Amino acid sequence: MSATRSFGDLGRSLTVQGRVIYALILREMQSRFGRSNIGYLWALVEPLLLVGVFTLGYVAIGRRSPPQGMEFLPFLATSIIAYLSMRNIASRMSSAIESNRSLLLFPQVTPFDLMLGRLLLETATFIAVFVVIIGGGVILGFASPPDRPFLLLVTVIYTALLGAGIGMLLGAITMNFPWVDHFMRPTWRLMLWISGIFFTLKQLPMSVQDILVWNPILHVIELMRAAYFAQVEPYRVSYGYVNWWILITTFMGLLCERMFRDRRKEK
Amino acid sequence: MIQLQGVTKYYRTNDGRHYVFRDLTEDIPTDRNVGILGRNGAGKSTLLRILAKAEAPNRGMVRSNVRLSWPMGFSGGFQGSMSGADNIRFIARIYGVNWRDAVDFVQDFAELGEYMHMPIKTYSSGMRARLAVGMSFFVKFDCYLIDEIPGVGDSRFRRRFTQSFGELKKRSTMILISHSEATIRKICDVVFLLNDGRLERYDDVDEALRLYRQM
Repeated sequence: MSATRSFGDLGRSLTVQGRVIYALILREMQSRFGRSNIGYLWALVEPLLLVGVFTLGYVAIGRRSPPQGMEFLPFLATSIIAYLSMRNIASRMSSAIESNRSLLLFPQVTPFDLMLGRLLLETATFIAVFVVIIGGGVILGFASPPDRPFLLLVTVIYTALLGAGIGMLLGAITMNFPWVDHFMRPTWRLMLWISGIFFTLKQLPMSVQDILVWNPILHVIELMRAAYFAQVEPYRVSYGYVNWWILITTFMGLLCERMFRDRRKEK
Repeated sequence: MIQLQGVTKYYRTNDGRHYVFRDLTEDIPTDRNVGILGRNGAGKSTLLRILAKAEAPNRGMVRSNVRLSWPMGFSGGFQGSMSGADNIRFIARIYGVNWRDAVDFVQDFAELGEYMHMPIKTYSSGMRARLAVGMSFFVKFDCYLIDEIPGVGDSRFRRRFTQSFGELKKRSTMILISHSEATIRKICDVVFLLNDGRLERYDDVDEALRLYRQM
């Protein structure tokens, strides 16, 4: 086979894959948001509600403002949107194969496409929600624009990939042990409180810090704030640590998916 | 032609591996109509999915040089909560054909009326089959992989189906699983008997049917 022909083959299969991903995203948009445009508003309602409630809560316990001169809205919005989006990405990715199994009948649709389609749609939603809420805050005067927008975008993508890795691993695990799924809701609820959403790591006693610093979600949230506010230095968190989590969860998730593929089809 | 080379397929069960095929090598012609006969559980549907590349074998290779349909006949490929039109749109997109034309064609062919825009789960199995058949006719494959020709509706539709089917037979072929001897005899030129994970080819359809009856 000549080199040109194999390039042609590659081009063709990329075209097919592109078509499949595009078709999957349009399909997912419909099942995720419904046919009406109001559906898209729902994606905004949950983070807005949480930001609103916790801003009030923050005021009620008499805290004037977050530490290190961070503004209220960006302080809470970065962490809450990151947390919710990551939870959505992880749960949508983990059920991607199970809920679209009937589509695997089409030879051009692979399990990988199903997951990639969902990841792209959820990441786009994540970015859109972020832009609308922060942008709205800036226009209304509740926030100043991010100091390092490009680094912020990179961190958003890190967050999405971390969610994807966790989602793939969870999907592989729940395929074999469906009962694990029951523990996910309480686990995510717990994560809401221990991922640095309402506080910064620095504010905590050293003994608590030493435990929470293992949590990769806390890392991306702190990194997100450090990207938003120029005066905030990353404290005990790093992109390198998140990298390891993304690599290991993705690798394990894909490996398990391969190993258990036959068992899945048997049903 | 579809070439199977050393195809092994097993499913993992609690008692270990359950083999459907071991090291199966066979050429399946796609320039003639092929029937596949075998008892229930012999692995006919699995074979069809492997031929369609909807399922990968554990070992071995499947190669083909023609455009094959998705394995048709069971309700797969459609998502129940979405409408017929939505599903048509999806299939049109992944095969790179115009979805507006596809929806129009299938609407006209399957005569689903307002059901076209209702969730698939409200369809009868006949309606579902009409939708699938209509869409596969629109995409135009070289070879159709069919798992039992479904009972598709009233006599008016059946006439229409037979007519389209006749046109289809002029430009395409099919690989057909059926338990109906009459269907096999009417359509197929070659028959493969599937027994104990082995495929045996018979160019004499009557002989194959006779052996099948004794199985």
